[in-house]
Amino acid sequence: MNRALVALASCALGCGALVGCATTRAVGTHGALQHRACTDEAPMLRPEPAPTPPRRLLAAVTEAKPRELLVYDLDERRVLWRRPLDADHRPELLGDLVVTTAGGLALGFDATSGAPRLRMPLPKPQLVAAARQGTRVFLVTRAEASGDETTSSSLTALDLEQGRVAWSRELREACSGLQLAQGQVLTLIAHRDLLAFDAVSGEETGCTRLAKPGRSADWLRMTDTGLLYGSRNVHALQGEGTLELPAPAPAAPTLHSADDFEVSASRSAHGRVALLASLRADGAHGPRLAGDTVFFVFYRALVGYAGDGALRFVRVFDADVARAEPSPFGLDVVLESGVLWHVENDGSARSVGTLGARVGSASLPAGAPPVASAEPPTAAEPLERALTELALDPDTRLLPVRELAVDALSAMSEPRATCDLLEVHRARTSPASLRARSAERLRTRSIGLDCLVSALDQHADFLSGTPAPALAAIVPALVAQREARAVPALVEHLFDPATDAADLPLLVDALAALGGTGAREPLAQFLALYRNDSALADQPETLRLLARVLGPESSDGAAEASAAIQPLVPATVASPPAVHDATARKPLAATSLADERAFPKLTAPRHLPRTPPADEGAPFWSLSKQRASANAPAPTSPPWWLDQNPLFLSVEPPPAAAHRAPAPTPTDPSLVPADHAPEKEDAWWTPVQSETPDAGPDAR
Amino acid sequence: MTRALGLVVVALLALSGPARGLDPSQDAVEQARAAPRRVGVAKLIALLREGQADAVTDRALALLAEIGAREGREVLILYTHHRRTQARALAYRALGRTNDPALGVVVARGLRDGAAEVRAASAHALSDLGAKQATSVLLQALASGVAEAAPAIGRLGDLTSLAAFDEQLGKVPLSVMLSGYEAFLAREDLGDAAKLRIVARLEEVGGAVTHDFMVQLARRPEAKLSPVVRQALAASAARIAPRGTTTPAKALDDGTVRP
Repeated sequence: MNRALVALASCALGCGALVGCATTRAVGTHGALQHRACTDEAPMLRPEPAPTPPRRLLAAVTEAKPRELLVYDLDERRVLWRRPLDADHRPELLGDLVVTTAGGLALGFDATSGAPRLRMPLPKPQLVAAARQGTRVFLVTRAEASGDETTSSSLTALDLEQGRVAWSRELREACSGLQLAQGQVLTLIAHRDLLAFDAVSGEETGCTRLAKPGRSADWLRMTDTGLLYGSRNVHALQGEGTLELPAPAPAAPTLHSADDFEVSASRSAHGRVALLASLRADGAHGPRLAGDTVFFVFYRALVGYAGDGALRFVRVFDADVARAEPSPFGLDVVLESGVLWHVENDGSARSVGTLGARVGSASLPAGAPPVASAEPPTAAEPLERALTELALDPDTRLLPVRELAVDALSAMSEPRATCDLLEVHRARTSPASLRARSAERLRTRSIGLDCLVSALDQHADFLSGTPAPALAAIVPALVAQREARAVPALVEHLFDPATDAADLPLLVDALAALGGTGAREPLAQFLALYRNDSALADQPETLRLLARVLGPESSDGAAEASAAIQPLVPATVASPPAVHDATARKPLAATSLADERAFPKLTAPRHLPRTPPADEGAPFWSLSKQRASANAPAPTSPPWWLDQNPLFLSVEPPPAAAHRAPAPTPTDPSLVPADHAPEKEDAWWTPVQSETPDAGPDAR
Repeated sequence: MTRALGLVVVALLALSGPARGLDPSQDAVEQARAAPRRVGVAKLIALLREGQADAVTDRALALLAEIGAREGREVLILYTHHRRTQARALAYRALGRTNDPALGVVVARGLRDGAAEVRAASAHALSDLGAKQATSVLLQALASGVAEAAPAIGRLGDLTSLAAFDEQLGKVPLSVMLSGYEAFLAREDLGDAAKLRIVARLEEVGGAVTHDFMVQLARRPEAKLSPVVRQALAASAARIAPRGTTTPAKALDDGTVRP
C-alpha cells in the first residue's frame, strides 16, 4: 500500500519523460543499512565485461560560451557531433552512451549520433560515479551534509530498455566509486567499506572492510585480473601485497584521484594534479604496474617515473592537462587547448588529434591501445635539459614541480647539472623559494664545479648590462667542496665595488677557509682600506669578521696596511718606484691563519709625524738655511717655524686660512703642483736669497 | 728688537689656543702638500695605503690629481676599486692626470662602473690621458648614456670615430652631441674638410639649439677655428632660422651673425 502511494505520488509529480515512474526499493530499510556488519574476508570477484563502444570515442565539454557537449572519434580524428549544453558534471562514456548532468537532471545521449536517450531527475544533487552493464546504467549520487542533515548517498539502477528506475538504494553515508563485477555493483562507503549489491535486484550481497591499519580506500578500480583499491598506495582485494608508488611527487596526490568528488564539467582543478598508472592485480603477488611508468600530472607538466622511482622523463605542454588516462601503452592526454596526445612510457609523444575547441572536462576510454598514427613520436628531451627547462618555466603554478626539478638536477651525475642549478638560481623568473632551494642544492654538488669557478669571472658591467654573479649561491658551494681554485676570483670580488655589501662576510669567510696564507694580504689590505672609511658603516660585521680572521692586533699595523697590492695592478703597468715611507714594509710571516701568535697587530691609523722627516733631521736653523738657499722654494703650508721650532712643540697650527704661505718661486717646475696658481698675499716672511751661511735665527 | 718682536708674535699665537677643524690625518695631507714633491707624494701614498676617513682619503686623492704623480698609480688603481663612489671617481681623475698612456686600459674600465659619477670621471680621465685607443669603448659608453664620453670622443677620435659619432645623432641628446662636436671642431689635428662636414651635418640637424651653438662658437675668438670653418658656421647658422623668428639670421662678412 505504501509503495503504491509512493508510486502514484511520483507519477503525479512527473518524474521525467523517458524514465517512467518506477518502484524504488529499500526505502524502508534505511535503519538496517546503518548497522551493517562488514567482514574482513574479501570475496572473489571477476570483472564484468566492459561495454564495447562502437568506436573509440572521446567525450568533452567545451569551455567557451556557449558551452557544448561533443563527442570525438579518435580513430577518424573528427568530431562526431556536438550540442549546446551547460553541463554540470564531466561527461562519462558508458559504451554507446554519454552520461552527464545539467540542471538537476541526469542526461544520456547516444555516443554515435548524439540523440537523447536518458533524462531523469537526479536522486541527489551530485553525480559521483556512473557505470553500465548491458542495458542497465548505475549512478551514485550524493547530498553533502548541511545543517542537521548528514551526508547521504543514493545508488540507482536505470533500465534503459524499459526506461525506468529498476531499483534505488538510499545510504546514510558518503558513497564513492562504482565498479561492476560478476553481476554485482560495488561501491565504497565512507572510504572504509566495500559494499556489494546485486545488479539485478539491488539487494545488498555483502560488505568487506577495506580500511585497515596501513590501508585506506579512496578509489576503486576493476581490472582484468581483479579489484584494486587504495589511496596513494595500491592494494588488491585478493592477496596481501601492496604496491607502493615510489614517485616523489609533490602535493602528495592520491593515485587516480579520489572518487568521491563530483567532477565539474567546466574547467576545475580536478585532474590537473594527478598521479596515474595502469595497474593489474597479480593474484597472490598483489598489485603491479601494467605498464612500466607512473605518470605525475601537474597542470602543464608531465613527469614519468619508472616503477623503482627513477625519473624517466619530463615533458611540459603548452596547455594544462584536462584529462589523462593511463594504459599499459602509456598515457592518453587531452589538453585544455583541445589537442590530444599519446605519450609513450619512455616519454616520446605524438599528437593524435585536436578537438578544435578549448576543453573544460573530458573522458577517454580507459586502458585502450594507442590511436594509430603515421606520425612518428617525438622523443622526450634529454632529462637534464628537460628538468632545467621545467625549473626555468615562468609559470608560478608549477613551483612545486619546479622545486622537484631542482632536487632531481642536484641528484644527477652529469657535471652540467651544476651549471643548470646555477642558471636556475640566476634566472629572473625564479622566485625566492626556488632560488634558496637551488642555492642549497648547489652546496651538495661535488662535480661540475668548473662552471661555478668560471662564473666568478663575471663582474658587473654597466656597458654590457652584465649583473654581478650570484655569490650567495656560488661561494658556499665552493667552500663546501674546498675549491681553492676560486681564491683569486674571490679576492677580485672582495675588492669589486659592485659586490653587494651583504656578500662581503661570505667572501671573507671563504677566503679564510680556502686561501690559506695567500689570502692574508688581500684581507689585511681590505681591512686597512675600510676600517676608517664610511663605505662599510652599514656593515660593521664585515670589519669585525676581518679582524677576527686576521687575528689579534699586531705591533705594527702599518705593515699590514702597506702590503703589496696583489692582482689589481695590470701587467702593463711598470713597477712603481720605491716609496720613501718611514713605515717600511716588513715581510709577512709565512704561517697559517690558525697561528694567532704570528698575526700582526693592527693599530689605530697612523699619521705622519710632526717632527722633521728622517732625511731632513738637521736642526731647524740649518734647515731654514737650506730652504732659504737660492733655489729652494718656500713651503706653502704650514709655516716653517711651527714645524721646526723645538720650543713650540705643543703649539697647534693656526687656522687653515693662515696656512696660505706665499706662493713658491717657480724655479723648479717639478716641485710646483701643475695647476697651482700663485696666490697674492702679503706675508711678513719672504725667501732669503743669501749666498753666505746664515748664523741662524739669532741673525734675524 | 726684531727677534724679540718675532718671539712675542709666536708666543701670542701659542696662547691663542688650539686650531679647530684639522685632525692629524688632514694635517698630514697638508704636510704632504707642503713637502717637496717626492716626499709629499710618498706621504700621500702611505696615507692612502693605511686607510683614512672619507674626507682625508678624498683630499689625498684630489691632491694626487693636482700633482699628477705617476708614482701614485698603484695606490690609485687600488682606489678605483673603492666601494665609495667619490673615492673611485677621484682615483680615476688622478690617474688621468698622470699622463701615462699605458693606463688607458685601466682607466677605460671605469666606463663600465655602476655609478654615473665614476663613468664621467673615467671619460674625463681618458681625455686627459689622450687615450686614443679607448675611442671605441667611449662610443659604446656614449650609446649607453654616458654624456661625458662625447667631449672625450671629440678630443680623441679620428675620422672613423667621427662617423660613428655622427650615427648617434637622434639617439643621444643634442646637447651631449654638441659638446662632442665642439671638441672635434677645436682640434688642431683635424682638417678643415672634416670640420666642414661637421658643420654641414649640424646644419641638417637644424633647430634653435644648434643655431645658438653655431652662433656662439663662431663668435668665440679663442675657439681654434680656421676662417673657413668660422665662416661656414656663421653661414649655416644664418640658414637655420631660430625658433620664433620670422627671418633667418643674417650672416655678416666678418663671420659673425646678426640675429
